[in-house]
Amino acid sequence: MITNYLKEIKSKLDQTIEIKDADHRLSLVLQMLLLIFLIFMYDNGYLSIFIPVIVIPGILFKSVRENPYFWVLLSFLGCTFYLVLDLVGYVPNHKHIFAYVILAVTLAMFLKKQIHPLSFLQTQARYIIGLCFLFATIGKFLAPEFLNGAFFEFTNTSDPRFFGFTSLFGEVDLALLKENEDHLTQLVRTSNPSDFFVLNGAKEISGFGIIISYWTILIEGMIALSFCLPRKTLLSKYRNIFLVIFILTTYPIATVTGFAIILTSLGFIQSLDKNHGLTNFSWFYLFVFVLLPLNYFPFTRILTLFQ
Amino acid sequence: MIKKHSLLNYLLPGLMLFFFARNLVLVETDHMDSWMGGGMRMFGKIDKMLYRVSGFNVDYNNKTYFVNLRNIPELEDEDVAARILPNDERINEILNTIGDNYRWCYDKASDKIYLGNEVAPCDVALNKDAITNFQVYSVTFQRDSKRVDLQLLNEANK
Repeated sequence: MITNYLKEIKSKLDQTIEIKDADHRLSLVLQMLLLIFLIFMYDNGYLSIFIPVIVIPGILFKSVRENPYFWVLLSFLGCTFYLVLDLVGYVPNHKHIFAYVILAVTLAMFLKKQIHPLSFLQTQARYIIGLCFLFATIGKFLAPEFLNGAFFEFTNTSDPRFFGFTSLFGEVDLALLKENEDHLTQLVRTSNPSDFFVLNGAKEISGFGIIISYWTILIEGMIALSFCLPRKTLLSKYRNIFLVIFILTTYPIATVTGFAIILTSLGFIQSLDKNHGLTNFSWFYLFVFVLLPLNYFPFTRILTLFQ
Repeated sequence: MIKKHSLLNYLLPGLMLFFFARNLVLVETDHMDSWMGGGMRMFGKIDKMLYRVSGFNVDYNNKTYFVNLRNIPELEDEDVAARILPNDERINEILNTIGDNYRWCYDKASDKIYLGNEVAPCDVALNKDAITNFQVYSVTFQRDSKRVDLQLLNEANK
């Protein structure tokens, strides 16, 4: 009954939303990406001023967003600040992905006569997700503190993004976790490099620090393999399942919206079928894209109230 | 004939591989933060630039004072750059900039070193030779004792 109801909703959405053909879907993808750039590309004075001026006409007018030179202009800004000057200022990894995506769209628009832009973008989205998770997995093997569980012991008890989860599952008093956050803030502002503090709650969660570490390696490794392997391989067919599991188990806990939203958009692009039609996975990614701001809602902290 | 788009398919993966390889090298050779530089190595190491501390030591009145650049808003760019990639070249350059381009002062009441400017004129002006070195520290977590402290990553001496 629920399945039938969901099918009915899906077919109504298919008819209502203007994404009936490949061109409409390309337009939707470009609008999604431009929306992300408008919201998240404000890292310095230049980007804060020029990104809205360039991106807003692209969101509003189809002819602008499908013009290859519009994307050349965006590539110039994205590559300059996120790839060329990336070791001068603070450029987190998802900003590199922004630059890769902008470059991918630019190439897709210039190759329009040879291949449909969505087909080209689907392949690029798969490569970007696959390599991103492959490097992340290799990185974890290069970090001894990740393999012995110390990373999550430290992070879950000192990074406020994980406090809700830690207080709920580790049964650690939220006030003690906030104290850790304050101590860490004081330590990085210290005038005495010999200062130190003892982390509250790390002992209580030392058991599941290791479990989270190995779960992360497993799920990220499976995403890396299934997205990097050729499409005809068996593992590749399950790639969306791994990515959905990662999204469902990661983003309700960790509020890393910038990375989550670009990952979800890339997930959406590569999940379209051969005729660029929406699959069930595409609908999932689209809903996550829309609902992602709810990530900021302190669900786990609210759950602790009922303990 | 190979179609142009078939070759261009590998342009971005090639670029991603370049940034990953550069990350591996710079982390080992130049103390780069492993989370930075497009290496996609986030959520792996505890040490990251957001937790690093950069600053310089000043000798005054037979005492050494550590000036944390996080507390000097005018030097935010230098602080961020030093914490991302504290290699010898970069921290030597910052050490020279700090000594040559800024006027440092001593405040007797709070027993602290501060940056002199129009709003905060110098109580006691310091000679630039009083600056002895520039240091960058990373945060470390001792799993057994649950102790969090700072460990010296690199330093530039005068």
